[in-house]
Amino acid sequence: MSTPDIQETLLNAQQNEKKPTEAFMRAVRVMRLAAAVIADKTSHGYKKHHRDADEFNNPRYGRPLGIHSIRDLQQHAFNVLASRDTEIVHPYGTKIYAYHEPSETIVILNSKQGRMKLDGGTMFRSKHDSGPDWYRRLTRLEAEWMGVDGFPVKQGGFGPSLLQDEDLATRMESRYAKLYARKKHISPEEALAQFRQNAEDMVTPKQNAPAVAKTVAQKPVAHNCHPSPVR
Amino acid sequence: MDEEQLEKRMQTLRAQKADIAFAPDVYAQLRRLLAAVHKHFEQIDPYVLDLEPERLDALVKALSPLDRPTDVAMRRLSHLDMFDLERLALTSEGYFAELGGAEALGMSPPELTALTETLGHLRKSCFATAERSAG
Repeated sequence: MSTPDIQETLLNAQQNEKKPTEAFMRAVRVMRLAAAVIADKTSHGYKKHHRDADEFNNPRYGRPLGIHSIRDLQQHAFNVLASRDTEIVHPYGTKIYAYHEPSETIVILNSKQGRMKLDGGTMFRSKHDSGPDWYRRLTRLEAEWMGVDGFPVKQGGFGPSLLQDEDLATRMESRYAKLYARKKHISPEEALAQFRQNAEDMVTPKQNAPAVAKTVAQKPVAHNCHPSPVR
Repeated sequence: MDEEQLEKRMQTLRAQKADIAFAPDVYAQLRRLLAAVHKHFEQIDPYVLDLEPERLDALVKALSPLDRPTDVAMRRLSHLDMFDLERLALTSEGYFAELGGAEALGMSPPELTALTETLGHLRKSCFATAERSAG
């Protein structure tokens, strides 16, 4: 049985009121949690330089994405993780690379068991015209570091991995719930409840609801992520 | 791969050592790059360059200045050192402006890409046997 396409299933659920399975909803929840953590980290930027957030609207390469708020960043992170156009490389248990070619976005998810003991993730755009090439060189270097010829590249985003690997989904959900909870000063249980509702909302048909599959959120909202004077 | 296996792999790479002969111009570029990264380390996203500051200090020390800049630099480095240098050069390609640009680095973006490739060739040629025997 083939793995369902996350965005397509969400759209179908919205349109046909057909509820997806619990495993599917959990995959959506994990990706939304990860997206929230990534967006927070990206919007504030390392050392609060707001550098990477600005890269989405004033890219050195590619088209501007019109991201104006943390909510837009979250939606973009979710779209990157869930998109059928996203390539996923999962070199070892502690690191995941995702590359979304249409928006030239790279996502790196890390867990604290990694070399740098960092937990969380980041999202950025290619900073030069050889972006896809740079990404491939990065993942090739990871493969050589591991002493293997290469890692299997999975198409269709992070969703299929979460649906196929129950253990991975559980670990990721718990990890990102903890990180989100810490950020919001709430308990991990509250974080999970919030995102359970959040995932439910995504499959509930709403009047004039934006299409989930829309790659880039366009609505201008308050400037929660200030453009960096550096770029 | 779990944490234990990851640590084991790092130990293996750390234990593999070789004498690396850097051409004078490559060595000079590499030293300038290391100095720039050292200076602007906090601007680099740690998720992209997952290198501890202590590791960077160790690499700066390992690539000490030459008595005569025109000499070939022979340095005994580990396989892990070479991987970290290559990773550092690859990441720097995306942080060219933040690292001070062509003025500070003394090279253009294509030259930086060429440096990354040179480091990769050096690593592969110097550690090919070690990797084969390990694999």
